[in-house]
Amino acid sequence: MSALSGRGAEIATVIALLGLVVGLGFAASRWRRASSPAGSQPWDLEEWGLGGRAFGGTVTFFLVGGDLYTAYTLVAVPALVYAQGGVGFFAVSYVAITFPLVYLALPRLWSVAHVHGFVSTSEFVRARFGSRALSVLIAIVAIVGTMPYVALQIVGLQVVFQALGLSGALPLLLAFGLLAFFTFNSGLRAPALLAIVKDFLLLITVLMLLLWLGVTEGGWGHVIGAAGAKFAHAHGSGGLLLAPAGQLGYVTLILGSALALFLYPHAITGVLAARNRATLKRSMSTLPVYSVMLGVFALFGFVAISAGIKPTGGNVDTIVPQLFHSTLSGAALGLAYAALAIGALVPASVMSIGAANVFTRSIYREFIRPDATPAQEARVSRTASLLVKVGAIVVVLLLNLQFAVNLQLMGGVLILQLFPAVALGLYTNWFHRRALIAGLVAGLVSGILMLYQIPQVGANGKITSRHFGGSSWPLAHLGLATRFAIYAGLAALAVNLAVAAAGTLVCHWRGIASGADLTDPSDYTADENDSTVQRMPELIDGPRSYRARHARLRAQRSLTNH
Amino acid sequence: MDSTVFEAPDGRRQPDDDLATLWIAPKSPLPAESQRRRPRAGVRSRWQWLLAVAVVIPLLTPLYNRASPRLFGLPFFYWSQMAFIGLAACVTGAVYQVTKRRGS
Repeated sequence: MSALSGRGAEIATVIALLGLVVGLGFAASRWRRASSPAGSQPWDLEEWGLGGRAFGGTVTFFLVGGDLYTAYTLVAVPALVYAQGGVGFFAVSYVAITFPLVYLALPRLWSVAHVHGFVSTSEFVRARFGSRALSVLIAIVAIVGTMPYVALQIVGLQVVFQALGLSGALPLLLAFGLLAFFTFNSGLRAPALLAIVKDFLLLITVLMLLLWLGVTEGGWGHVIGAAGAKFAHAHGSGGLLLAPAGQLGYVTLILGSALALFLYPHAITGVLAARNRATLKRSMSTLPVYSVMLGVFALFGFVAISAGIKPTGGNVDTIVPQLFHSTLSGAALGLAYAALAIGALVPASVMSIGAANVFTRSIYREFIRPDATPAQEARVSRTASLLVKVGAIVVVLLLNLQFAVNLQLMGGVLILQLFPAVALGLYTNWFHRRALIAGLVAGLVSGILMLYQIPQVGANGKITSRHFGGSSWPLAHLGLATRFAIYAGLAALAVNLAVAAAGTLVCHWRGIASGADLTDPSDYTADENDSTVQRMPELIDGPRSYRARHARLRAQRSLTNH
Repeated sequence: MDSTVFEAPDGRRQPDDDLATLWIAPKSPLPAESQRRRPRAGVRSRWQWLLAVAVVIPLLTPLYNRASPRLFGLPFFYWSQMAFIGLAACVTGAVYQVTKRRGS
C-alpha cells in the first residue's frame, strides 16, 4: 500500500501533530501580547494566568469549550453509553442546560473580577463576605477538586498511547513534561491557541467516523438495534431508555453537574480571560453548539457495540481508541489519536493554570507574602502550575487508576459545595460568613459520607468494591422504602444550603457582625470601558496590567491629594 | 484637575455599551457610586425568563424518556436531548440579541 497507510504513517502523524502543538505552545507566548513594550516588562499574573484578559469571542469560545470537553469526557462518556446505555447521555443534557443556567451569573462574575482585579473565585468570596477563612477554605476545595481532574487527563493520554502501542511511563512523562514547559512559558495563551487546533482535529475525526458509519454500518437504525439487543440480553445493567427508578438520579446528576461546571477554577479562568461582557455572552450563546459533538461522541458508544468491540483488559475506557482502530487506518487513525491526545493536553494546561492562580492569590498572597509584586505572583503561579502537574502524574503512576477515577468523582461533589458562597454570592451577601463556612463543611462531610456508602457494582451484578463506587446515592439510606437514588453532590448541596441558611438566621439573631462587603452593586454590571474598569494607572501611565482595588484606591487618593 | 481623563482614551465602545456614556457623566473628578449605576430594563428581565425554559425542559425526563418517534433511526430519548442543545443555543442567542439592542 501507499505510504499513507500502515503503522508508520499512523505514528508519524501523531508525532507530527504533537510536535506542531508543542511548537505552537511555545510560540503562543508572543501571541496577542499588549502593545506596551513587551519583553522588557516582567510578566504579571494577569498576563500569564489570564492571557492579559483580552480574548475576543472566537478565542473565548474555543478556550471555554476546549477545557470543558476534555479527553477524559470524550473517552469516558462513550464508555458509559457502551456499558450502561441511556444513562451516559446525561453528559449531553447537562452541557445543554449549563449555558442558559450561567448566562446571567457569569457576566456578573466577570465584571466584579475586572473591577477588583480578581483572578479566582476565592478572592471574590474574600471581598464579598469579608472572611479570609472562608476564602482559603474555598481555595483549598477548588485546588483539591481540580487535581484529580488533571490526573484523569493523564488517564486519557495513557489510553491513547496504549492504543498506539507505546506502553510504560516514559511517553506519558515526555508528553506531560512538554505540556508543563509550554504552560510555564506561555501561560493561558498556549491552551487558548491549542484549543482551536484541538477542536479542528476533533471535528475532522467525528466527520470521518460519521462518514464511515454512513457508508458501512447502515445508519443509526442498525446501530441502535444492535445496542438494544445487547442490553436486552444483559438483564438489569443499563438499557436504551432510563429505568423508572433511575430518572431521579438522572435529573439530579444533570442539574448537579451543570451547577458544578463553572465552579471549577479552570472554567472560571476561561471566563475571566474574555475581553468584555458582550464577548462572554456571545460565546455562551454559541457554546451549546459544542455539545452536538459530545452527543455524537456519546453515540459512538453504541457504534462500538454494533461493531462488536470488546474492551481490552476489562477497561471500558479503551473502547473509543479501539473504535478508531477498527474504522480508520494510517494517517487518518493517527489524526484521530492525536486529536484525543491534544484533547487531554489543552484542558490539563488550563486546569493547572486555574489551580495555580487560586493558590497564588488566596494562599500565597494571603498567608505567605502579602506584599507580593505582580512579577512575584506570576513566578509563584508558574511554579505552582508545574507542581499541580507533578502531583497529578504521581497520583496516576504511583496510585492505581481506579483511585484517580474515585478522586474525580469526589472532586465533583466537593466543587459543588462552593455554590452558596460563589454563585449565590454573586447575587446576595445575605449569608453570614460563619454560616457559609459551617454549610461548606457540612456539605463536604455529608458528600464524602454519601460517596462512602455507595458500593460499586460490576457488569455481572456483583459488588466489586464496597465504597466510592459511584455518585448515585440510594434514598433508602434515609429510611425511605424506595428504589430511587439521587446524585450525592446535589444531596450534599442541600445539606450545605440548609446549614448556611439556618446558620445565617442564628448569626443575625445573635447579632454577630457580618464581614465587610467590599463590592458595590455597580461592580457587578461594570463593562470594559467603564471608569471603574478603565483604571487610573492605565489612564496616567498608558495601558498596563490591572491592579487590585486597594492599590487603585491608594493611587486615586494620592492623586486627589495633589 | 482635568475631568476629561475619565473619558475612554480611544473612544472604543461595544455596541451594547452606548448608554454607559450617559451614565458616567464627568461631573466630579472621581466617579461617585451613584453615577456608576445603569438603567434596569423591565423588558430585559422578561426576556430572561426564556433561559429558565431551556434549563427546565431537559430536567423533565418523563417528557422524553421514550423510544418513539424515531429520527434517522435514533430513539426519541437521544435525538430530543440533542435538540435541547439547539433550544439552549436559540434561547441564549435570542436573549443576547434582545438585551444587546436594549442596552443591557
